[in-house]
Amino acid sequence: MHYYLAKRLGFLVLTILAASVLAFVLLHAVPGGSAETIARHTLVGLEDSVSDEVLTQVSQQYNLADPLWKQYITWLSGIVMRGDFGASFVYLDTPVASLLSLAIIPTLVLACTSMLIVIALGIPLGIYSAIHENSPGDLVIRCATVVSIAFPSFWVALMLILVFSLTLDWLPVTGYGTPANLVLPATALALHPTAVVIRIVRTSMLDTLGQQYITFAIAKGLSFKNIVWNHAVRNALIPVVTLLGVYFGHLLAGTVIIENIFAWPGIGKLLVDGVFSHDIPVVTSCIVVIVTLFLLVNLGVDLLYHVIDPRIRYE
Amino acid sequence: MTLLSVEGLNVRFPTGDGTVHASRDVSFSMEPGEVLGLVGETGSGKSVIGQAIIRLLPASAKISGDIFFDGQELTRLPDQRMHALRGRTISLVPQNPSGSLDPLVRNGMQIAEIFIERGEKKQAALDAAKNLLVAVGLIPSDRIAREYPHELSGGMRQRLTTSIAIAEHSRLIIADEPTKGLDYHARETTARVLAGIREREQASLLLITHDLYLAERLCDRIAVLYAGEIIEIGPASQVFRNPRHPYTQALIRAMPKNGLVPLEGQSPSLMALPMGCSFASRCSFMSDRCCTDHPGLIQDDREGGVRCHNPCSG
Repeated sequence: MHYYLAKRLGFLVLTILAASVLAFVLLHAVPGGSAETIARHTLVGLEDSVSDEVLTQVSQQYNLADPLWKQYITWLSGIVMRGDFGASFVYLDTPVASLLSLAIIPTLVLACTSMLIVIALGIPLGIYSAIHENSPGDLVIRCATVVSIAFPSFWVALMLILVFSLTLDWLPVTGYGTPANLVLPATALALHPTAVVIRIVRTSMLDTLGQQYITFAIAKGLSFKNIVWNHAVRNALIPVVTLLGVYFGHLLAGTVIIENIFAWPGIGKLLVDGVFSHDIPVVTSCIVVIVTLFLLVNLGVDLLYHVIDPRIRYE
Repeated sequence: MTLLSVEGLNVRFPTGDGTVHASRDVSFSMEPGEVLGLVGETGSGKSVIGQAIIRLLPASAKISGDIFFDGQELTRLPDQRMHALRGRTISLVPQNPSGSLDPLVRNGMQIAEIFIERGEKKQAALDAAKNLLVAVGLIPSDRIAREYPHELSGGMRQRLTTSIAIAEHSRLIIADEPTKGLDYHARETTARVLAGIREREQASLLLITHDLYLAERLCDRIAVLYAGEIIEIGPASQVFRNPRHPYTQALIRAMPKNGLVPLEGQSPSLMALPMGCSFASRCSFMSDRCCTDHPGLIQDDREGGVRCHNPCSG
């Protein structure tokens, strides 16, 4: 187990390194990283010419005169040694690390809230649907899931704003800071995964209820409630854990559109703003953080398997 | 006093291609403490009879006939009362022990949950479970109780499911193919465990098997099934020494110790059964009557019966 963990952590570090190299190299190949562009975006106007003096100053500040590999080493060692992700090209003198630390909390809050909604609705409704297969309740749930899966989340977000903010005026359109701000983006994000989780839980439950150990549990004289909760649900949820892990990873990484619609100051919004303003250090760092979060969630899911399924033993 | 009496049991499964007539006009009875063997090849409808008694057939099954157990008719018993009988009065040793054990539950708890269901404290239930493990020879019981089913061999899992079936001293134990898929050694152990139940528990045992050696070793009486029907029934010694139905004779000749003579042909489809005797097409004693006239089960004076127009004299 310790060996397995060490191996997994080793691979995790290697994957992050590979991702950081790719992100760094690819983004520096994009036009926009030159001292001139940075100066035009920040110090002087876009139309004005830049003096050599300013160019040298900018170039020195961001080590732009160094070869690319040296810039990468400087950037990486800054992260590893001091947690310093470099300086933003746009917000002069603001370290990327402080931008990230401001953005990561809103993203975590939004992702965790959506995840709670997915779990709290998806699992119970899926179990209900399976136990009452083909009942009116099951049909209603199944229709609702098909509809929810069909709508893209950005459209759902706009409709939620239209109904609950603009028409009913119950909830604020955008912003961050109060629980009321959280409701619409979390709902918009959770809808699609919840629908998928309901369907997977239902299928998995029906499959489990057809297993021989369920039939034998009936023959043992166990009550229906006992059979469902102690045998069927536990077995049925094993494949669901994988799915929840994937969704949690996506929620941490891929909330770009929803964060922008609701002006939610998270990593996704930071990333997109960085892209539009050619802020290469911010974009590279966002990518590294997102990759790291995704990999950590994956590792967590694999370790969780070890706890819930005794047949899995890592070595 | 008869413990179990099955009278004219028919089980049909409607399917898209037609109706599968899995069990046809099956009648037999069992006395307390008796061991009755239901033998026959795969698809002869043996297991369906056991599942019909403990009411584990899928809801799609159409069941007619009566099953009297201790004065109660089981096929029409309300679900709640049937539930109260399962595991306590009628219990099952399932086919395929590996699939019948919940992979996420420790071996000890697989047994103990029965006692917990009846209101026992967890620790007392686990202690009782360990005693049952010892009773079927699963030792050291402490370690095995802590392990999971996937850590046991096939034979050990078979003994674990058997111990579950005897947990509540049921009056009727239905053992469904207890030696299926086991190696020689595990089959021997299972046979010993079942023989032990017979001595200790004074329960009636309905042994459903295609393993004729096991049936010969354990059973007081034997019922031979073919294409969903009982074609011969009688005391085990008589059925094995003086089989009267040509099919029974063929089965016994096909046992390795009797020369492993195979029986030509195949049993008929349960969806398209012949008008006359189901065995006619494979029978070397076939007469014209066998093809047109379905034989009834002829009871003879030696407390047995045979379903044949031309039975061999015993």
